[in-house]
Amino acid sequence: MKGEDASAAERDGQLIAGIAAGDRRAFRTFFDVYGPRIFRYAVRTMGDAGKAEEVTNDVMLEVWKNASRFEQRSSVSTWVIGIARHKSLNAIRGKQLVTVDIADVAEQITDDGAAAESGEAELDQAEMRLMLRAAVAKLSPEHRDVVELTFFHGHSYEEIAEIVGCPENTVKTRMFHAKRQLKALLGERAARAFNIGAVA
Amino acid sequence: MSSDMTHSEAIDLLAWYVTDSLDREESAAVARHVESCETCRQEVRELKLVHQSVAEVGVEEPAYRPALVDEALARIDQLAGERKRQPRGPVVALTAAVRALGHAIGWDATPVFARVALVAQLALLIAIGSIAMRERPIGHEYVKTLSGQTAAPTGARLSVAFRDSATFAQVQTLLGELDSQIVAGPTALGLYTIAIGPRTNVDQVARQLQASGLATFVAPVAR
Repeated sequence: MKGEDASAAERDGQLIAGIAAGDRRAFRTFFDVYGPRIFRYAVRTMGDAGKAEEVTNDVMLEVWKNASRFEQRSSVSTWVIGIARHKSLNAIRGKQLVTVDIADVAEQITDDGAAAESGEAELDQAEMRLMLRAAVAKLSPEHRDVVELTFFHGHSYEEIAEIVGCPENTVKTRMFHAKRQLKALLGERAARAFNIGAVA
Repeated sequence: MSSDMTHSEAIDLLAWYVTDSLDREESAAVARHVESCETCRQEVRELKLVHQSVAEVGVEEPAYRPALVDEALARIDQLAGERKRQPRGPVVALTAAVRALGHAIGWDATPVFARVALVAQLALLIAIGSIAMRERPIGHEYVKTLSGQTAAPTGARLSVAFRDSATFAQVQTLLGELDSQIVAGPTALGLYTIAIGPRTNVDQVARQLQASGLATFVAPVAR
């Protein structure tokens, strides 16, 4: 990750070297660092915790088997998320992605006592975040990928281009369309809530 | 990226500006633009909210199980056990032996051009060896007259020409079965003189020689 400091890169390098040598402790530490990120990526891509756990284990098994061949041309996080993406997409190939209906979330929020009390125009930030997550889940897989890899995993656009296998400009274009779709999905309420965000 | 970044260049990078994943130079250029652009400042506020929403793990999302690592290690052990139990086929064993030998003689450290040269030499040696070891056709065998050296059969004799494809071993085997042996040949015309055992019928030998498919000409030798 571009924002990653040198010590994280050094730690990752040492862990990979340890795993390549069959060190189980290094593998455990690596799993502690990357397991939650891989799982979160997989669960948000596939919408199925069981499958996400399988993908996480598959990715880690791949790391165990291929650590000695990792050539450090990319960062470790780019490498593992790239494997996770490939395995997640294979797992859901031909299947309908699980998406959250934004209307259901909005209705749920309106039904909520606190929200009803404060009025529709005054969605608080926690509610807005809930709606945003639902809206992200509604995005097309390509757009959601770019949003998740940017905001959840903290990857730079260059790294995302590498993970996804497309030009850097395509990553920027996908982000542009993702933002437009999010605004369209959230509509009027979002515009007001974003202004609440501006105050915070 | 130059310091005077355009609006469209800057707005394309805002998502990564918010997550602090731009390089220092790009980030500084975007920051300078944002300072002077209200549209981009608003976009940054919106993207910060998106960042918070996406980055936090919602209560509705399934929790990560730390025990996953134990399951992965158990699977690694299981796979390692299966690999150990798996019988090694002859090809696998041979490949492993060749690899071990290659490692022992420093093949891995040998430059590629030297490897190619060595392989070419080995292939040439094998080719020469296989040609040398190949069964020779009967036409290449020169048989000296055995009279005076060994006890040649004293019975009738046949003049025989063999096919070019017939090997010396095939002819020797057949003649042994027929109680006969070559005592001279080949002549300039490729004829061999076959001595027939005293208790063997010459006509029968002649017929069997013709029937064998090895001989192209069989005729009795006048004595």
